[in-house]
Amino acid sequence: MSPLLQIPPLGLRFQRALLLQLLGILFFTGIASARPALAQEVLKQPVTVQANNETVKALLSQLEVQTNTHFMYSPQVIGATRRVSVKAINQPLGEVLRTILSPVAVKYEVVDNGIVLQPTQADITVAGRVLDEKGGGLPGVNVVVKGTANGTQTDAEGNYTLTVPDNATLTFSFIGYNTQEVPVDGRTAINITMGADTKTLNEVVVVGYGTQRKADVTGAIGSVKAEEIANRPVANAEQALQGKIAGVTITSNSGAPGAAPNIRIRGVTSVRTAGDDNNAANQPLFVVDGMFTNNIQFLSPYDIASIEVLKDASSLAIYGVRGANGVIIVTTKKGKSGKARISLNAYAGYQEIAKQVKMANASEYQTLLNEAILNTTPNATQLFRGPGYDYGNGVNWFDEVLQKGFIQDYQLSASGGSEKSTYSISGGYNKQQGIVKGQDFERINFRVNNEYKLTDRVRVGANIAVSRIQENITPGSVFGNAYNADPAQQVFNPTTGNYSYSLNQNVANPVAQLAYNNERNKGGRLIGNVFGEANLLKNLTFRTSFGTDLGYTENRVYAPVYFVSQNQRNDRSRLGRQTSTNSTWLWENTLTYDTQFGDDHRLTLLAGYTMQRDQNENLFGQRNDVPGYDDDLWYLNVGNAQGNIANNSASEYAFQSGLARANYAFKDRYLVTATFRADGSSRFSEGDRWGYFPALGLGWRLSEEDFIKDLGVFDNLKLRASYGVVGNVNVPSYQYYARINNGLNAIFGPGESLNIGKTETNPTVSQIRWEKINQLDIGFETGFLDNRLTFEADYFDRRTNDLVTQVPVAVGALFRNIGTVDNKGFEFTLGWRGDVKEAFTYGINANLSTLRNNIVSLGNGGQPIIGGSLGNGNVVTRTGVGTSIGEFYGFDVEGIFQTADEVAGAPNQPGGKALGELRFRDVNGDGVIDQNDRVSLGSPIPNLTYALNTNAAYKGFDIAVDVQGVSGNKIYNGKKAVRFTNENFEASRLDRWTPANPSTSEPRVSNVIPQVSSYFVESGAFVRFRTIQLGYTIPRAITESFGVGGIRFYVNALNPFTFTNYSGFSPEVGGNDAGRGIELNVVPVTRSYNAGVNISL
Amino acid sequence: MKAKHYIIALASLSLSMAVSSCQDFLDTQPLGEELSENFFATSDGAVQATNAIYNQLRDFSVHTFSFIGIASVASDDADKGSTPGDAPAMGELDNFTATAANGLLDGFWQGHYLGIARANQVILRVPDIAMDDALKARLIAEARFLRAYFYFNLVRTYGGVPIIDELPPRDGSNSSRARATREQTYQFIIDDLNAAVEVLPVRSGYPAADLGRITKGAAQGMLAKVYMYQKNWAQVLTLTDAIIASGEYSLYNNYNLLFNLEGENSSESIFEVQCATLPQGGGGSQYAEVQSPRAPIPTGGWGFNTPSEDLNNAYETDDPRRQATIIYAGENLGDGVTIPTVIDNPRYNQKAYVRATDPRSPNGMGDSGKNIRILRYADVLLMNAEAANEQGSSAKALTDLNLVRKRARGTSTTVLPDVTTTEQTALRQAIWRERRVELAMEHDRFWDLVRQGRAGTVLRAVGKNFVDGKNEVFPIPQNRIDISGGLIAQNPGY
Repeated sequence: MSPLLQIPPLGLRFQRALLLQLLGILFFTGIASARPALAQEVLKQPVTVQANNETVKALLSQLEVQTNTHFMYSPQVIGATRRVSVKAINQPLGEVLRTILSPVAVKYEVVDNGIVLQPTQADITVAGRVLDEKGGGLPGVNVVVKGTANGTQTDAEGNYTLTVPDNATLTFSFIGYNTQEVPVDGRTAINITMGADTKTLNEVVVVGYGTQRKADVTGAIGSVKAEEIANRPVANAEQALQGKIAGVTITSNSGAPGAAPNIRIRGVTSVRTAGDDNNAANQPLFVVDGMFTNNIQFLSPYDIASIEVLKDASSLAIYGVRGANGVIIVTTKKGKSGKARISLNAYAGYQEIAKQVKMANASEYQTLLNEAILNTTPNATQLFRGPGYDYGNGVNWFDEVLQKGFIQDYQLSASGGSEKSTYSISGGYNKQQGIVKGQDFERINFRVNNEYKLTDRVRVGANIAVSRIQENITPGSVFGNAYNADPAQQVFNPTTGNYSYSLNQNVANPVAQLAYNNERNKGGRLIGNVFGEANLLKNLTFRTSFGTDLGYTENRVYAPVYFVSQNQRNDRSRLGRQTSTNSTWLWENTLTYDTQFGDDHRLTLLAGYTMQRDQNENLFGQRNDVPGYDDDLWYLNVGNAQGNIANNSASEYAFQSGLARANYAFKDRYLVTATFRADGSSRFSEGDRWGYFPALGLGWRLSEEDFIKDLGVFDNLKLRASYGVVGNVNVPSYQYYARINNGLNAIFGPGESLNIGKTETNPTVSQIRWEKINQLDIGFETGFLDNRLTFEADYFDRRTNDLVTQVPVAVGALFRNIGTVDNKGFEFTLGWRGDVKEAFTYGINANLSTLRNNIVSLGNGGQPIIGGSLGNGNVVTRTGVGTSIGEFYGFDVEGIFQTADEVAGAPNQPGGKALGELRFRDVNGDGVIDQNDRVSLGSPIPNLTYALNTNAAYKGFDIAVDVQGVSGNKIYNGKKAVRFTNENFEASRLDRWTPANPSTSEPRVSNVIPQVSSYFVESGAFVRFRTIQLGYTIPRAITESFGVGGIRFYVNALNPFTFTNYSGFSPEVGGNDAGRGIELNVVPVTRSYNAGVNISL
Repeated sequence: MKAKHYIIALASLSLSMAVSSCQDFLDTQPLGEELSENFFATSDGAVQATNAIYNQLRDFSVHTFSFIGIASVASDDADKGSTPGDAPAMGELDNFTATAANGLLDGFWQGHYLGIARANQVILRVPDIAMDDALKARLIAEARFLRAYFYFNLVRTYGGVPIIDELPPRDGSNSSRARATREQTYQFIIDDLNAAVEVLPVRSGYPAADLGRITKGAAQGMLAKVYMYQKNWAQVLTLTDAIIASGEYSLYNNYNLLFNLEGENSSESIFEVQCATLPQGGGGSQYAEVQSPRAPIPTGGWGFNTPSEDLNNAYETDDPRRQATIIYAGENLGDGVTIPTVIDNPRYNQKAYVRATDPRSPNGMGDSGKNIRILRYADVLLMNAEAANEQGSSAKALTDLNLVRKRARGTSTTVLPDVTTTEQTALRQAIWRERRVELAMEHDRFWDLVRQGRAGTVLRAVGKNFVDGKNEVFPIPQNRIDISGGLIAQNPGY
C-alpha cells in the first residue's frame, strides 16, 4: 500500500488540506481544545528510524508505516527528494518530523485524516491603510509582524507597505487606540480601522514629577484630553475646563476679554477679607510641562495635549506647601517621530452680553424717582428735574456702551521628528473685542517643544512658550454707570453738542467715560524649561530641569482734559505708566528608580530636590500736562517734570524642597503610594520656615481578583483611599516683620511743603504660617461592558487647619492662623461610550459633586469674620463657626407693611417702619427688631455642581453639547441695594408697593440705605448650556484629492442658554471668598457664536 | 561612555549647589520696606511717625464727608444739600434717622481710630529712641494732642468710646475694648491735653518750617473747649486767659479774607489742618470739593452742607459775615465765577470755597489745598466770654464779645453795635448767638447745641426729628460692635 498513491493529484490534495484547515478554523474553533489533545497523541507516538542519506520521501514512507498515518504534501514544496540522515530510537514522531523538516522551513500539522506538510512561510508584500474611527488615515501607526522586530509605520495618509510571511500576524498599535492583531492569511492588501482605546486601564496619566498607569493610581485625578479642550473657542484654556471634571468649579466672574476665571477645587478653604491675596488664596497651582505658574493665560488651548487635575492628598502631597488648592498639570503637545504633521485651526465669531437686565425707561424713572424722593424725604419739594423734553423711553445706556465683540483666532502647528529628535512648533493669534465698546484683547503665542536623544541613555529637550498680550481696558465702573445712569438724560446735550450730564444724579455719563478713557496693557511672557534626562542604570533615571517664568506688563493710562460735569471732569491731562516685571526660576532634580521583581512586584521610587526663587518689581511714574492729540507723545518725558510722581516696589521669595515617593504594586492589584515633601519657604520666620507633608494612598483592584473576574461583570473595579497633609503657602508674606507704611505725608511751613510721613499702620503678628490641609479621600472606579460604561465615585473630607485670615481688631485688621474649615463632599463621574454602529458614535460624560463647607472653629473667641462690603455701609456676609464661608447675614423679610394698623402694631425696626416698606421678622420674638434678629440668609457656595458633556458623530458630522449647572447657592443682588444718588431703577421695581398696588413682594421705592435683608438674596442656581457645537468633516476622498489630510468645519455657540431664576445679569458671580456671590456691576459672562475650521496636512 | 562623565559631573554639581546654597537661600527679606524696629530707632523715624498722624487729619474719613455731616448738616446751620436723594447716608444725619448701619458714621469711627493708632505709635515708641530730648518731648506732646483731638471728636459723636492706648498686640489677640464712660473718655482727653500744654512750644517758638504743628496755644484752646463741654468754667477761663495773655494771637483784620488762601495760618489761627496744592498733587483734601457749589462752574463740587434758611436769617441786619459765609445763587464770586441763578440749592458754604484763581492740584478739586480751620482766636475769645459770664464777670465777657463783633463789622459804623447787656442769661444768649454766626459752617454748631443742652428744642423747631435722650449722640456703627464681639454696647434708643 502506497499511501501517497492513494492521495489525489498533488495540487488537489494540497488544496483539500488547506480547505480542511480553514474549515477547522471557521467552524470548529468551538472544539479547538479537544484538537490539540488528539494531535499530541499522534505526534507523541514513538518511532524508530535510522536513515543515512535517504530521501525525505522515503523517510516519510517509513514513518507512515510505523504510525499508521498519512502525510499529505507537495513533493516540490517540501523538497521530497532531499537526502537526510536521521537516527532516532523510540522518539516521538513530532521530534523526528521537526528534525527532518525544520531545516527547510516546512511545518507539519495534524488533521483528521493525517498530517499535512507545508512550508512555514512565503514572503509576500502586504500594503494597506490604517483608518481612525472617523475614516481618516492614521499616521504613525506601528505595524509589526507579531513576534518579530520586522515592522514599519504608517505614513501621513495612514498607508503602509511591509513584506511579511504569508501566514504572519500583523500587530497594529498606536497610543490611544486598541492594538489589533490581524492574520495575513496570504492577503496582500489589509486595511483596518483602529478603534480608540477602550481599555482605559492601560492609559497613562500624568502625575506630579512623572507619569503613572491609570490603573495604578491611588489618588483622585481628573483628566481632560486635548480634543475636549480645543473644542471651545475660548482664549483661556481654564474656561474650557468648565464642567469637565467633578469637584472642579470654575466661575467666569467677568466677561471682560482675557479675564481669568476663578477656579476652586473641592471647595473653599481660605478666607481673606481684603487685598490681592484673595484670589490667590484659593487658586490652584498650575504646572505646565514641569514649570510652576499661577495662570495659563499664555497658552493657546490648541497647544495642550492633556490636563490633569490632582485633587486628593495622595496626588498632591508631592507639591507640598503649594498643593492645598489642588494642582492642574498641563502637558503640551510634543512631537512624534515620523512625517511632519501640520495643522491649522481658525475660527471667528462674536460675543455679546448674554442677558440684559431691563431698566426703567425715562418716564418710568421719573415716576419712580419722584416717589423715591418723597419716600426718603417726606415733603421734599425738589423732585425730578429734566431738561424739558419729552422723556418717552429715553436712553438705554446699555445699548450705548455695549457692542457685539468680534472674535478671531488662528493657530498653526507643526510636529514631527526622527528617531533622534522630535519637535513641535506652534504659533497663534487671538483677538477679541469685549462687549463694552473699546474693550479688546489680543494675544500672540509661540511654543517650541523639542527633544533630542544624545545617546541611547541621554536625552535633552526644551519646552518654551513665548506670548505677547495687548489689551485695551475700559473702566470697571462703566457697566455700573450704565446700570445707574439717568435714562431721561441724553447722551449729548442737543444744544451744545457736548456730552450731557444728569441734573438728578452724580452718575458719570458712561459714553463720555468711554470716550475719554485710554488704558492699555501690554505684556510679554516667556515661560519654559530645558531639561536633561539620563538613564544612569537600567532602571534609574536622573532628570534635571531648569525652568523660568519671565514676564512683564506695561500699563499706560492717559486722561485727557475734559469737562462733562462737576463729577466727571479732568482739569489737567495725566499720563501714568507702570511696568511690572516678574521673574521666577525653578530648578528641579529627580531620580526615578523603576523596577519589577518577580512577576508580582512593581516598584517605582522617586526622590528629588528643588529650588525656586520669585522676584517681582513694579515701577510707576506719572506726569501731568502731556498733550492728548497724538498717542505717540504719551511718554513721561513729554510731561511736566514738576509734579512728577514715581513709585517703586518689589518682593522676593524663595523655596527649597526635598521630595520622595514610592509606588508599589503587588500582583497588579494591591497598590501603595507613599509621598513626602519637605518645603522651606522664605515667607515665614526662621523657626516656622519648614513644613513637612506626607501622604499615603492605597488601592485595591478587585477586578484582578479571581472571585470578581469570575463574575464576568467588571472590566475594572478599584477601591482606593488616601490620606495626607498638604499646605497652602498663599498667605501674606513676611508678616513676622512689622513694617513701615510710606506716603503718609504732612504739610508744614509757610511754603506748604510736603514733609515725609511714615509709620507702622498695620497690626502684625510675630508668627504666621502656611495653612495645613488634612485630606481624606475614599473612592472607587469601575468599568463595565468592555469599559464602555465607567463610573467613578469619591468621598472627600478636606480639613483646613491654621486657616489664615484677616482678623479685624479694635483698629484695623491683621492676619492670623486662626480656625478650621471643613470641605466635605461626594464626586460622581459617569461615562458612557456608545457602540460604533453604522458610522454612528456617541459618548456621554456626566459628573456631579456635592460640597458642604463648614467652619469648624475660629480662634479669637469664635468671633465671626465679617466681609462682603457693598460700599454703601452694608456689609453682607458673615463667616462664623457652624456656617459656611461668607454666608449672607441680615434680616429676614416677613412681608411688606400693608396697612397703617400693621405699621403701628409692629415693633420698631432698623431703618424705620412705614407703609410699603419691608417688614422684618422678629426672630427671637422679644418684641424688638434689632441686630439680634439677623439670621443667615444662605450661602454663596453651591452645594451641588453638575455637568453633562455629550458628543456624537455620524458620517462626517459631529455634534457636542456641554451643559453645566449649580444649585444650592445664593446671590446677593448688591447692585439693587446700592443707591447713592437717584440711580435708575430696574424695571421690575415698577411693581413696587403703592397704595394703589399693594404688592407683597416689591417694597416701595426709596433712596434710604436699605438694611441687609433677604429681599436682596436670590437663588443662584442655574443650568447653563456651555457649548453647542456642530461640525462637518469633508470626506477624505475629496480632501485628499487636494492634497489635504482633513478639513472640518464647525459652528458653535458658547453659553447660548442659561436657565436660572436669578434676576441679575449672570448667575455666575465671583468675588473674594469672604464676599463672594455678590453682584455689583461687573461685566457679566458673555455669550458667543463662532464658526471655525480645522485643517490637517 | 562620554555621557556617563557628563552625568556624574551634572549630578555632583547639583549636589554641591544644593548643599552650598542651603544656608542662606531662604533668607529673603521684604524689599523696599522699612522694618519698624529699625525705623523706630531713629530721630527721623520719630519725626516722620509724628507727621503721619497729621496726615490722617486730611483723610476723607476724618475731616471731610462724615465730619460735615455730623458737625454741621445735623445742626440747624446747614442742610444736606446736593440733590434730593443724593447720599442718603448724609440725609440720615440731617434728619436724625441714622441707624447703626450708616456708612458715614462707620467711616468716621474708623478714620479716628486709625489716627489714634498712629498717635499711639509715637507716644509709646518714641520715648525709647535715643535722640534730642527736647524734640522727643515735643513730638510726643504733638501726638498726645492729636490723640486727644481724635477722642474729642469721638466722644462728642458717640458718647464714651473704647480707649485704645496701646500698640496692637503682637500675639494677634483682639484688642477690642468695651466703651469707657463719657467721663472716663473726657478724663483721658484732658490728661493728654494737659501733657501737651506742658511741653509744646508756643506758636512763635517753632521754626518757620514747622508752621502748622500743634502749639501750646492750640493745646490750651482745645483743652478749654473740652472743659467748656464739661461746664468747668474756671478752667475755661484760666486757659483762654493764658492764650490771650500769650500775645501769640490776634483777630485777623478781615473776616472776608479769613477763609481764603490769604487767610491761612493767619494771626487768628490756632489749629488748622494744613493742606497744600502741590505740583504733583497729594497734599490736599476733599474738604472743599464736597461742599463747593453744585453747578457747572470751574470750581464746582458736590454741593453738600448748604447753609440753611435758618442760618441765613440768624444774622443781624447787614452783618458782613453773612456774605462771607454764604454763597448765593446768582452771586458773582469775584474770581471770574458767577453762580447760576437756577441751581440745585439756593446757598452754599463759602468758607469751604476754593477760588478759581487759587492754584489747582493736578488731581482736581478732590485734592484742594484749603486748610481746614478747626480752632481760631475768635472761638477762644467767645469761650473766654462765656466762661466769664458764667463766672459772673459780665464786663470781661462783654469785652471779648465786642472784640469779635468789632472785627466783624470792619469799617462800618452802623452794623453790629456793641452788646451792652450785663444780665447773665441775656448775655449768655448773646454769646451763643455770636458763636453761631461767627463760627457758622465751621463744624461747631451741632456739638455746641448739644453742649448747651438745647439741641432738641432748637432742632425740632427747624423740623428735625430730634429725640431727647437719644439723638445727642449717634449710633455706634454695627460693624464695630460686631467686630468687638458684642463688647461694645449700643447707645440707648438705637
